[in-house]
Amino acid sequence: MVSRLGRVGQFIWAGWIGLAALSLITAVWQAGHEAFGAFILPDPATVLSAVAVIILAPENHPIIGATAERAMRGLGLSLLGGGALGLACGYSAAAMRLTRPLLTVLLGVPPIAWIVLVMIWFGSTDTTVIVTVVAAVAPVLFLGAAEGTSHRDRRLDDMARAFGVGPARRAFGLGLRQALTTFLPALAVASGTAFKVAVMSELLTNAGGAGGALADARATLDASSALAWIVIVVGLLLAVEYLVIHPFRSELERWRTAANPFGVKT
Amino acid sequence: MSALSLVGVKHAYFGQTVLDDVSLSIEAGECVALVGPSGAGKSTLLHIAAGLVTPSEGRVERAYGRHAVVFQDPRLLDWKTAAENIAYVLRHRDLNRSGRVERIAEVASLVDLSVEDLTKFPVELSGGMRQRVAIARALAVKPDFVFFDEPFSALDVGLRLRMQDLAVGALLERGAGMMFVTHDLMEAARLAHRLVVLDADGRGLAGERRLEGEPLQRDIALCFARVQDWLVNDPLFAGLNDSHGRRAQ
Ligand SMILES: Nc1ncnc2c1ncn2[C@@H]1O[C@H](COP(=O)(O)OP(=O)(O)OP(=O)(O)O)[C@@H](O)[C@H]1O
Ligand SMILES: [Mg+2]
Repeated sequence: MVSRLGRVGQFIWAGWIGLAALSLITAVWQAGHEAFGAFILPDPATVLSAVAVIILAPENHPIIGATAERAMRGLGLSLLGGGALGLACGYSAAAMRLTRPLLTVLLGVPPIAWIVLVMIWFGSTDTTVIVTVVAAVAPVLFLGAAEGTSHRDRRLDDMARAFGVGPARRAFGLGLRQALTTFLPALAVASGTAFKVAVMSELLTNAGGAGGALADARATLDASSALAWIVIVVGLLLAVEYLVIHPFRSELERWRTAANPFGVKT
Repeated sequence: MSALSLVGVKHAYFGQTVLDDVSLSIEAGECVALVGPSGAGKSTLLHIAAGLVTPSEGRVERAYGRHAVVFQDPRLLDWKTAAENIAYVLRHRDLNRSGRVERIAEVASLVDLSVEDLTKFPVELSGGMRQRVAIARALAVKPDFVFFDEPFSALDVGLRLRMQDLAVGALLERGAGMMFVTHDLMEAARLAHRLVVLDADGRGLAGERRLEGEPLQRDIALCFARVQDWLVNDPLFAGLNDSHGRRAQ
């Protein structure tokens, strides 16, 4: 328990580094503003106040909520489909060989092509956005899960078998647990992609959400509101990444930090 | 019926025969040491006997309750502490939480692991400590038969003797059977009822020697003389001479 508190403290402390990086970006942004003028690049203060206005207006909450919900639902479906299938394929070399070329094809199709197709199938609806997200994200999660399970340490499976541990506990306790080392980075990439693709799909299909708001900003040539929406979407992504994925990961990688505390090289 | 019987076991990896026509029976309460040069197929035979590898030919019969295996490498789960590693093989057995904690403490003290060591991850333990966790894990399930694959190889001489006395002693007391792979003839001479030598060229068992007296109660000097005698006069150990003669001295 104490060590967990320590890790939370360390995590918050690491926030300073993030803050420093953000300050740097803001400084470069400000410099850009001074060089190109407010029409091309509004200054950070203006954009941040625009962000505050958008966030504080209750009528915007459903818009932000819609984008977040679509991205998360797409991510959740991909997790169930791609992740679970990947785990299963990691256990079977034959299935892995079969799906690999398929995966290359799926990953090779640009999300924009999916949007066009899916729009023809479903029109400007929630489903369109979610399906596009799934198409972009599921193969990534599949690969992460499949690589992880197929590279697991089989000697541990033998050990567990020798002690009479059943197949279900072996699959979850050993296979899944070892798959997480490649699956979590894939999940981080996938959650970023989910938000990006959701916004892009909304913008192109006119399905509302943050993408829809961006489309409006473009129509009125309102650079500060466009930037404000971008900041909001990035903020959502950062929240998911740092509030969900990172703490989960550091909890799982406890044993790694045990050998190398505080990142000190010995 | 013997606790463990191997009948006409043959095994080949990719066409290369490692074991041929091995027949071996081990009784309940008997400790059989398996020696042979490196690469002779000792680990392979142990894995076949423990049911982890299916032999190309022949069969394995078991007539005991449950077994445990101490592998040549400790095979611990990196992401679990020493105590959790031991608990992993216990959990599905009918032991409640306090029963498990008690059992873990019991076997940990048997292999000289402190309470603090138990909270450490395998990366934080020394090689010998990891090996001892693996031994504790095997003892924790209260096995009726144990397969040991060079379990004490990373321990210093003093600790090795202590572990032999404690771990093997505890098992013999409970009447458990043992298959004990070792490189060290002295270890075999001290621990085993019977010593089986594996042929270096994959022709199966080269022969066996029965040891008089009870394991762990033999005089060290007599064991030493015995090993010297084997190495000098017994043709069965001629193949081992190069790789083991130096170690035994
Ligand atoms: N999984 C495997 N695939 C192919 N060949 C193997 C495999 N495991 C072992 N072998 C081969 O089988 C032979 C016997 O190996 P084994 O591990 O049983 O030897 P060992 O007697 O235990 O040796 P050591 O004393 O060094 O542990 C070796 O020649 C090895 O190369
Ligand atoms: Mg071996």
